Amino acid sequence: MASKIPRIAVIGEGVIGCTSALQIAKAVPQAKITVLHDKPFENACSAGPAGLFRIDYEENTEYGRASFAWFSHLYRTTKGAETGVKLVSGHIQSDSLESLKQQQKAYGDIVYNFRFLDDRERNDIFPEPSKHCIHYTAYASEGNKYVPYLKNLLLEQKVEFRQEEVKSLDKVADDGYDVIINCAGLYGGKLAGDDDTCYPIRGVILEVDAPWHKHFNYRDFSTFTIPKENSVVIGSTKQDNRWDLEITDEDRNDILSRYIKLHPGMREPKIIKEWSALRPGRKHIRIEAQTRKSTASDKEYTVVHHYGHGSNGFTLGWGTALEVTKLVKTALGL
Amino acid sequence: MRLIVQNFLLFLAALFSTGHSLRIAIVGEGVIGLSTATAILDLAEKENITALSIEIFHHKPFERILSRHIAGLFRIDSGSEINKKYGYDTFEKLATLWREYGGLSGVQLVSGHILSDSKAKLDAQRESYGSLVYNYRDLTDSELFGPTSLFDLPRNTVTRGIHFTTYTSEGLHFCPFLKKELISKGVRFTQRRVNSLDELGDEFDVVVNAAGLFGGALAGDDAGNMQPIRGVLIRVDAPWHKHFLYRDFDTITIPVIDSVYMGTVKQVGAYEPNNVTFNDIEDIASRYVKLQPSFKRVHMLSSFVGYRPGRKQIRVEKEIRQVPSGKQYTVVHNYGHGGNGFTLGYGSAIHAAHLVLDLSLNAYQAIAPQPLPANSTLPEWVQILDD
Repeated sequence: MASKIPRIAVIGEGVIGCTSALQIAKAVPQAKITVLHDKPFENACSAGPAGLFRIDYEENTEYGRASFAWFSHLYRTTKGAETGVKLVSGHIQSDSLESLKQQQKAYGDIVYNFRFLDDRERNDIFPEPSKHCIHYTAYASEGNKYVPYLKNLLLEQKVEFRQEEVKSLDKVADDGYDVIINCAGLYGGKLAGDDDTCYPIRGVILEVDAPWHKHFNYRDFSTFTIPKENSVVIGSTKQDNRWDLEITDEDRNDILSRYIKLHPGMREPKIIKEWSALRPGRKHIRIEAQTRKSTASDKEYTVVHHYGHGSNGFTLGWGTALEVTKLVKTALGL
Repeated sequence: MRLIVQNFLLFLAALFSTGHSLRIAIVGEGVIGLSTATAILDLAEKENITALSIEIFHHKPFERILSRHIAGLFRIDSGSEINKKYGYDTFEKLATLWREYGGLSGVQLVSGHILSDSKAKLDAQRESYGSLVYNYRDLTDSELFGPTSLFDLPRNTVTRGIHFTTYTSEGLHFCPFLKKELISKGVRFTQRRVNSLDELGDEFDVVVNAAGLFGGALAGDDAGNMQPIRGVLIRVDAPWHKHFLYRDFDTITIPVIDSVYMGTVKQVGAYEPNNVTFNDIEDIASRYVKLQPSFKRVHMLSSFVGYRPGRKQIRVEKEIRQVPSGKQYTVVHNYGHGGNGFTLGYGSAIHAAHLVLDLSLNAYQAIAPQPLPANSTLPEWVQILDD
């Protein structure tokens, strides 16, 4: 099945596609890898996020742990301006102790400086604080810099990028690829043909000029700020099954009023940019290899699915890609 | 309607008050002068003292005074009781400003780390401010060394580290904020070089000596107790760098609002060179890059030499003096903060304000140190640095 020089196609040049391609390029240096993408990067879901490391579900903890080690390596060796990776500290407040304990279980021993604040700290830092608050230090990998950085590394590895809309996996195989990595995010299920469980989680963020704000600051998990290199992101919305991207006044007022209630010092922010995207929602991340046969040419090929990361593509992508890489090597008999 | 009547009554009261308005002069518009004025007005309001006026004298433009260039990271250096009290009070003020104004007051909440090979020094940090700042903790082994660590350190048994969250109050923004508030409350600012305290003693009831490095010379009896401590800061372009990072206390970065400060040196007694030298930059950059290799080739925007107003202890003292014509006036000294003007400044200003307004000193009596013996020897650097 595998030809002398394995030809691998990665579908999608977002954080998942680029991360997968990079790992495969390093693990299988003899492979010829092509990343296929249809949208310009600026319109992809990966272009906007601040990329703060935070794990929602314990089932993803080990993926996050692997990602954290990667970010830590980047942070120590390369300037943040180049990689888009920066160290950030901050706080998450909630009236629900349970939800914060759950955060602790999911990543408390991965990140740095994880702790619960005491009453004095909570009341000193925040006007009208929630009942409980955690603090930690981790990495934020902002999409608009981190993914282009991965892309540069890929170009150094002689990975090819091709703009091409992919409608069928069979056709990609017919074009000469032996292994196809399906990193099509929200459209991964549709492309797979056997999965209709993907759904959009609409998100809207406002980018403001507030260089005095050096921390991430959350109340529960939809009201937050995260500092980027040259701006601060205020977010967000998490609207399941909404496909519309247009940002309305309702969005703006909703996000700002929630955040300013949490952080009055941010009132009347200077908004420099707005951004909306559809997170690739799915019950669990799909990491799965399948052997298929093209109906047109009878060619056997392997597809490795790697999509459905929801709000956690940047936190988990490196870790899930490690598993994908193992599946690719298995498929190639390596 | 009620407001008009109230104001009219106040006006009458001022006009006919038997105690006249307390006329206060402050020499120096750095962080100490501005903080002292702010603390005086604050305290006066609490104590219902309305008949007072403040005029602040300065002769250098703001761009050329030490305060303008300081990052002002809150960190108490010495464990003396009085410094702890000053630090505590300053911290409370910074926290209040942060809650109300966010960064608009020039105050920032910042987190960061300090590394040291000296366990004693780190223990002293905990002693001095561990329970005052936020999130104070010792770093673990895996945070210090190894594949998921924060730093590029070879594993060893000596280097340890701490983490905490504190405030910066950078002079560039904090001082203008204080000044704006003072102006809105009627404080006058006058550009005039003050050569002696007696000069002002004629027109004012209280003269506050917040002349920093030159406070000792201005006092007339203390110049020999002061010494400049030369420092160098480099402003770099590193907006992804959101934490402070220290190796002991001379190799540092502090992110301020619009840039990152990298530094420094602490050359005690040095008063030249007045400009940043190639050696300064090479020394600072090489030390810092060793601590954080990803800062290699970071873009430098500007640099600056400053002289910290070094003294064995901050001088916050009151004395009665007499001008040649016989009129008596009060002097309140508030200078000699060394490298701690922004960490201890506001707290010392509250102490000075108590002296200015003649209020109870219970909080300070037991902990204020004995004054230093007078030393009016005028060192050479006074004339060289006070241009």
